[in-house]
Amino acid sequence: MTLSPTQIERYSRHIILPNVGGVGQQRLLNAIVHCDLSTSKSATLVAIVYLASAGVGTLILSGDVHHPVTHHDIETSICFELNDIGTSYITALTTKMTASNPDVTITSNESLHPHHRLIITDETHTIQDALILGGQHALSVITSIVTVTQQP
Amino acid sequence: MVNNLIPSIAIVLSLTNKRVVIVGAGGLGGPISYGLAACACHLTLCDNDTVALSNLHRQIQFQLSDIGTLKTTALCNTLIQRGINADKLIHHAIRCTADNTDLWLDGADLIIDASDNFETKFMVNDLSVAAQIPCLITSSLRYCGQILAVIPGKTGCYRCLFEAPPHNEFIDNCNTGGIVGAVLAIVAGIAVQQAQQLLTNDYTDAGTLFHFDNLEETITPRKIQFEQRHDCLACGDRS
Repeated sequence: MTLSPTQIERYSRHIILPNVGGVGQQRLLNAIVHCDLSTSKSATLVAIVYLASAGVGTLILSGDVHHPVTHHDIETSICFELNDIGTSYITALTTKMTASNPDVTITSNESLHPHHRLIITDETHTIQDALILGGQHALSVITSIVTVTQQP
Repeated sequence: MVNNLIPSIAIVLSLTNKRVVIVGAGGLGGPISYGLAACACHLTLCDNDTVALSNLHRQIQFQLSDIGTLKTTALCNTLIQRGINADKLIHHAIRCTADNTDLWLDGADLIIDASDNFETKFMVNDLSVAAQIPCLITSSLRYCGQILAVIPGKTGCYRCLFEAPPHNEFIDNCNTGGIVGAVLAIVAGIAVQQAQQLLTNDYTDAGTLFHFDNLEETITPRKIQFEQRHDCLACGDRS
């Protein structure tokens, strides 16, 4: 597969990174990451948004994926809006990411075989703590995908 | 759980009448505004840029339908959709300079530089020192992040450390050097923590440059301490 002109424009700030390039971006698009929402929801949601924005192609969600979005989720996370309240996490996330990055598939289909796992156990109570912890984990997963899976 | 929430409530009550000017509504300005809006701060958002497709891999507050829209307008709409009272938000589609401060600096308790260029960072620093308003200078590039809180008269400033913008041939930004979006989340989170400290007169981290340039350092950023320079062009006694 090659990157389309639209993908080259969308991911241009990744592609020019020395450790990523077109090959690394293609690895991100081909990657399947399992994201566990049973602990540290706010930080995990932050990580999911940044992974999806980076073009990680398939995100398998597990845990409380059918939990309805609440006011508290909006106050402590970055991915929901008022009109998501009462909608399940997975529906709201799919709607958000479809509106910003159609390259990404969000699913709860656990029969797929993930290449990487996102499991955050430390709880956070504020957006700023969720940003830091979720950002660290998203960066770790992205780095692993573009470097560790490098072919010899 | 309850104990963890009590400080949050106290912080919200103490910040509810504070105004924070955020210069830049992109990859840092977006999540920083989410964090400060959640603390009930009044926000002034400034940026003259419009949303582009190449922004979407890191500027998580925007979506495809925002392309071509002013970033400040799109960000305000997102904040309102997140339940933030529109009365708390002012937005200006301008490039902030020292010549148009009447448009964007009014009533500021804190200025946050979330821009992508050195000219603006030095301008924010110099204005902060001149007007005696604390500022936070935030930066990110590739896998690196920096955050510096400046308290005029109490700490060294951005110019004490870096003196002047680098020559054009040495300047990289996200357009030329690239960026991993998740780095912005980390910088924004640290910036919101430090903004809350500054707005509640906690100067623990002020005057110390927080810097990370690899994954391990995101967990414990390097803390670079420095003194106020008496010959600094912005805050020194010869200025």
